Amino acid sequence: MTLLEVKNLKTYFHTKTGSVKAVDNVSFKLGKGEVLGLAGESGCGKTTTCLSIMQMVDFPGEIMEGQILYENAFDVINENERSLRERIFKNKKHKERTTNLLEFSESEMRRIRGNHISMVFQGAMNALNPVHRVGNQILEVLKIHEPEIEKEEGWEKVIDILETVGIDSARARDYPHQLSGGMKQRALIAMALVNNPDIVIADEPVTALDVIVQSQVLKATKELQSKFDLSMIMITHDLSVIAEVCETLAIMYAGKLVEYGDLRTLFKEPFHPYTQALIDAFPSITGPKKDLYDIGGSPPDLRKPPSGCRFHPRCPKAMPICSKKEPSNTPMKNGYVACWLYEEDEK
Amino acid sequence: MTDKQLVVEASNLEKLFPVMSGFLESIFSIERIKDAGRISKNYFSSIFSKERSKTFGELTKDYFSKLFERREKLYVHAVDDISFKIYKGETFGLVGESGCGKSTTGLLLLQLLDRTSGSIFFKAPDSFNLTLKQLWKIRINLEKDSISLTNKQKKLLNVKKDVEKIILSKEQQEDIRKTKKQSYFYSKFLKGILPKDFSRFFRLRKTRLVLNQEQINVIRTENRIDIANLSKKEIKNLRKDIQIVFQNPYESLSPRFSVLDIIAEPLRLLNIIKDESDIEKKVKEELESVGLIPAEDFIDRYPHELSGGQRQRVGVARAFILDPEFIVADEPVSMLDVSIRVGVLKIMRQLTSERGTAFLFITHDLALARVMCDRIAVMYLGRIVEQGPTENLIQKPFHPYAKALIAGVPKPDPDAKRTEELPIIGEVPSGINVPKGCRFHPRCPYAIDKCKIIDPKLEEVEEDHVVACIRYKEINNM
Repeated sequence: MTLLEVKNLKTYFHTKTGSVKAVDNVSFKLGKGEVLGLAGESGCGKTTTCLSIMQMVDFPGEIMEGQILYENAFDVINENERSLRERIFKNKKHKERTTNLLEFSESEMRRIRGNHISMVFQGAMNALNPVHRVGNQILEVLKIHEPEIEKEEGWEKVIDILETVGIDSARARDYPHQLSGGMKQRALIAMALVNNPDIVIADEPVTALDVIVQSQVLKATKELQSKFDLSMIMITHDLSVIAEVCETLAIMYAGKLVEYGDLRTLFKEPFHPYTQALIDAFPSITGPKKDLYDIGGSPPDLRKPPSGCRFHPRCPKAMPICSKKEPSNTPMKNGYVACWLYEEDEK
Repeated sequence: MTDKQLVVEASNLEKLFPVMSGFLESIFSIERIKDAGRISKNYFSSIFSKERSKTFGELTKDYFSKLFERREKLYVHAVDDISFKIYKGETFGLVGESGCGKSTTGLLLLQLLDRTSGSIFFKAPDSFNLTLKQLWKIRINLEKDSISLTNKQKKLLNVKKDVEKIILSKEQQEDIRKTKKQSYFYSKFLKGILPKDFSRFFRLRKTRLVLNQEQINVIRTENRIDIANLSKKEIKNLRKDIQIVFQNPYESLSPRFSVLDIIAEPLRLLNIIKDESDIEKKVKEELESVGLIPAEDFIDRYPHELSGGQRQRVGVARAFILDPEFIVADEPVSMLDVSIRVGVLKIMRQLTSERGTAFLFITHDLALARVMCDRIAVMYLGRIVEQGPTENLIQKPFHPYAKALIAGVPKPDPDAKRTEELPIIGEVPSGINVPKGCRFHPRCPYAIDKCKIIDPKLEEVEEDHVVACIRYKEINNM
């Protein structure tokens, strides 16, 4: 069952020197209970994609076109419509609505954010407010969506959720500086989960952590995901994190989704040269020592992206056609790839 | 191997950071003021009672002594008694979780922090001038044709024990004679103006004894110096031989400097090349060697015009431009993306092998250390718990902590289940209250009661491979 579907999303940032095409024609689906990994280099538009879903793209960014279809969006609409109908449009029939989040008003989006779709922000060290107790910060999120909740009941919920992510209830009264890096990250995850959302978007949740703490946090995330049957989008540049947690993998490069498919198949035989390069660039600790693969070059300037396939200047398998025409999405095993190598095979 | 040339040696290095946040607390803690308050109450009651047990003076003394009573000072044991050696052309890896003291070790080796105890020996630069002022400091007898040393002075200067006198060459004798004559003149001339001690100071400052290589070899055992004992000026001269690559390229490059200025700064500061056009030429060469080609495109740019990978390459170029003997790289790629890391790592590996630089690579990722290092030391809470050649250590780790670190390394493979394998729990305890006995025992899955008492020493398991664990034989079925 598809819970969230992103169709042809385009988000541009309008700057003085031209518009940056941060997200360009991205589409993917997220099923119920599915964990999707969104991987790519920094500046490839992973975070912008997810901010677009939450509609938190700030000026000068703008969502140009596309659709974000959220299955349970009617929960919010119905509630809102009822009240609207009762108050103003008593006799008029309200305009027919779709589940497209981009058509939602800001007040409706506020009900969606945190309650239906929530986000674990990047950088646990900076995402918590240093002058408020951790428990109170989580309570605040709860209270925004359930204003009538009693303080004691809310506090019980906060302690519950902190214990589920593995923080001792006594630490709820601590300030962020009293917690270690791993605990801060867990507290952020607790904050995202406190309203029982359907979808959690985790933006680089373990990047700043040490390897051991990293695996502890990932373990907790995995357990929570299966416990609450969450749908998750995991944004990271670290393929190993995705390998551990996710079921589907989407690789982004320079604002485009270049490959999408089942995780296991993709890791066994990656189709796109960029996916291959990302996997090869990873140093391994097991098996014989092998030399690292260097992709070379750096990601392109998105104000003036390269013509044709955006990866062609760095691609080891580039062909003449790559620089001329943009490849379309070719369906492969459980997914698709945007590369001329496979399109020709099909023809 | 005898042909290995020792560049850096740390022996019994220790660094304690006093806990400063508790300072005011320790003086004006609430309990103490309460205690002191109680005395003052007694004081008032004693004034009004007929039998005064204590005089006013005694009471105030009590009051203040209670208030300013010294509490036991707290320290963070950042680096605690570690020793290692780094040879020429070798990359040595320090691996551990954050807070284990690996960065502090790096800063100590560079003398960016003062060590608490222990010594850092560095291969002496080829020409090392001993000024007479320095010699005077340790009161060396300067005779006509030689320097004679007492045992204590020999120890201070690292002189071999059997050396009795250092014979001076004729030129040096002539030098000394001249300067003595000069200083005699100065002393006569200044006698009326300055007090006696000052004229002596003048006399010494004018004299400089330059020792030749042979004489330095006699003075310095193994031709090395303890850089922790050097003065700031001497350290500055040593900077051309020790350099650092910082962790965060977004913060370590000045936004107001162009790439040329950033890379040329060491050259300009140490006055190594004076001509500006020569400096530019050298900078261009260095830029090309770190893969920023063509150099002309980059030389006038500012850091904000560079990507993360390019910035770190500039950082690497800055460290390598003086052709140093020893470089510390403190997590040089942890801020970079996986795909960009490889380029920077390859550049560093190539430059170190080409130039024979001794390299200290600090990281928390053992997989990166495997790619870069020849030998690895695993640190935990300020101690080295295991040290050995890279492949030996990674294929066959002995210490439970090293095992956990290896199991914790991320693997880009959906079938590898690192989270389930991970045997240890919790996080690194604070360095203030270090656990007694083996420092790892609260988190160790193999800990027994003995581990809480015995502080394990490093034992040699294989050639060059040492481990600090009392149970390593049982754990590894040896």
